[in-house]
Amino acid sequence: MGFEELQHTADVALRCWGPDVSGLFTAAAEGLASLIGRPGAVKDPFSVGLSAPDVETLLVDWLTELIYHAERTGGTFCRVEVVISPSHELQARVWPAEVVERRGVVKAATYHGLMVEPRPEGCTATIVFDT
Amino acid sequence: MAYDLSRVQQIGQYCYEIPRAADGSMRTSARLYADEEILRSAAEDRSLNQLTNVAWLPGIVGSALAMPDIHEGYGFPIGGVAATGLKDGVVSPGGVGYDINCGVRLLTGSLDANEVRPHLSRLMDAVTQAVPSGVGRGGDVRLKRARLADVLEGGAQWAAQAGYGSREDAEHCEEGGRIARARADAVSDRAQDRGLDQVGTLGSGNHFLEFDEVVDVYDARAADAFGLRPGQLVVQIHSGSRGLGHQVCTDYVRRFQTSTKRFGYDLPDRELVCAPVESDEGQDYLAAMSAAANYAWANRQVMTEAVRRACERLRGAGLPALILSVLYDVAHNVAKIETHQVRGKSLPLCVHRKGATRAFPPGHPDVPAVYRSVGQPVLVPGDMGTASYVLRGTDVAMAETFGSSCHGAGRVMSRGAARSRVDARDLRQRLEQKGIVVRAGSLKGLAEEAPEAYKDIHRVVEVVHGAGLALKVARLRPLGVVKG
Repeated sequence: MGFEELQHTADVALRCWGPDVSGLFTAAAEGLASLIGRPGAVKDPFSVGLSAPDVETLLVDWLTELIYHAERTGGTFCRVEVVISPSHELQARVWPAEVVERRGVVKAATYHGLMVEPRPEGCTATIVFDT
Repeated sequence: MAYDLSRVQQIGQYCYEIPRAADGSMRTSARLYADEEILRSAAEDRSLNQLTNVAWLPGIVGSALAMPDIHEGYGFPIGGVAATGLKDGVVSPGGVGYDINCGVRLLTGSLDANEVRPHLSRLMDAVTQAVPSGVGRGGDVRLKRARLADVLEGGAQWAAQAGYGSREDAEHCEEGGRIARARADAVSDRAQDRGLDQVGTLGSGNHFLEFDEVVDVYDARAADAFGLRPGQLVVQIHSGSRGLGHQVCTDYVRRFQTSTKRFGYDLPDRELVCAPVESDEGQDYLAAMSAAANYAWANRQVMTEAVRRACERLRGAGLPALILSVLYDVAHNVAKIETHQVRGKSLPLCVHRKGATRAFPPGHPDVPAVYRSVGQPVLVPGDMGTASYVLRGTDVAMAETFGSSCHGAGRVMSRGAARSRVDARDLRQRLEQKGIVVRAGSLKGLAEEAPEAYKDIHRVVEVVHGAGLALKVARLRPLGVVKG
């Protein structure tokens, strides 16, 4: 499970991977958090429940939820627990955190070229964020 | 990754065309205004693929267009322009982007730069204090929901009525600083939440507030009409609709994912989701996008007044009286219903501009009366260490690009590459050696916006000038920069 930043002229692209869809979503959240800043003091967790017609839409919805929370609180995240059903329903716990070293702002997660692809080693997706 | 340039034909000194593909993936041709170097640079990333994807849009009229500041975005390339018919065409939130009405306004000063230079450092401090900038920073204007609806439907005109500037300020904005079709009820609760405390804030990323000196005047008649003279102090404010606009785009890209299937569109890229302009979804999006655009105009108007007040506060400390007047304010990311000539007929079209500037010609009724004899002011900010330009709109732009021109220099280097290649402290020193005072929220953010991360603004402007889309009026040199 992990992520890496890819070159994108105007914005930021992250290639994320995990052993399964839930792992991919966890990696994507961690990647997003890295774009916002280094986490400090941890706050009380909150729950997220989402459903979508397909897994790509669910991934964008999930990241959108985290982006909204980060902007409203001025914080980031240090840990997430995600469970995704085959019918594209998500249940998650998110541990928000203060930012001790801010990196930037993420405006949105986009659908640009987005495809969740099953691979022998798990699932992968490349997400372009508007930053 | 690189685009195959053998598919590209040169059809004018500064115009290249990608013909409509035989496989049906393009409904029309794609055109890029560029010189050879800009074309080669555009071929290195996905910009031209994104442009040909735009040519797929149902109901597109004319060619899918790109300006010389083209660079890779998502859905549309940045620097993209597309017009669609109202009866058979679509509106696409991806053709506007997340920072709805990200735009720039130019204020003319009553003083010369030389009169302000001795006070510049304190002035930049005062402005930095007066205009909140950086990630997530709220402003001094905190709105209740009912008042936010007034902002969303009133734009810069709301701001002037609420005591932030004058009616004349709003009249000197594109659309008079207010798109009338805006509806607050088309903006989600979540988007409105994000907008409650961000009116009057600069934001981060490429947003900036900059003091400049007019260094060259190329067109004395137009400069006179615009109130510009060599040596004059001017101020640029570049910002947008902040979190509210981001959420409006997010909401409608999501909603259109469903409607796109209903309308049977086979998208080349899901970020190009769209709906017929005249459908309920299309009309709701235009109403919400217009509301976000109005929010952006109110935002820049409130910041204008904050800058004026900061200057006023320094009067007691020796700064001569400085009157700042709004020259003009243009939207870079917007979709609007405009009337254009198509094959000899006057037609209403939905013109998407994503990283492009409206550039209406002399005599156009939408150009403020004071500028109508010379054409609409076209404001083209460059990078913080080089130059910016004031141009004027032309009949050529009206005939070829739906009255559009470039919006800036355009990036050539990713933010990550800029952070790794540019030493921010060294950059600050280089700028200070050129006499440019820098106030930045973060050193990393400063490095991301380094001059070397952008194309050569002079080259970009020479292309639009040479192509006749917008003509040079004046060049500005930076004196002091506040980076968000």
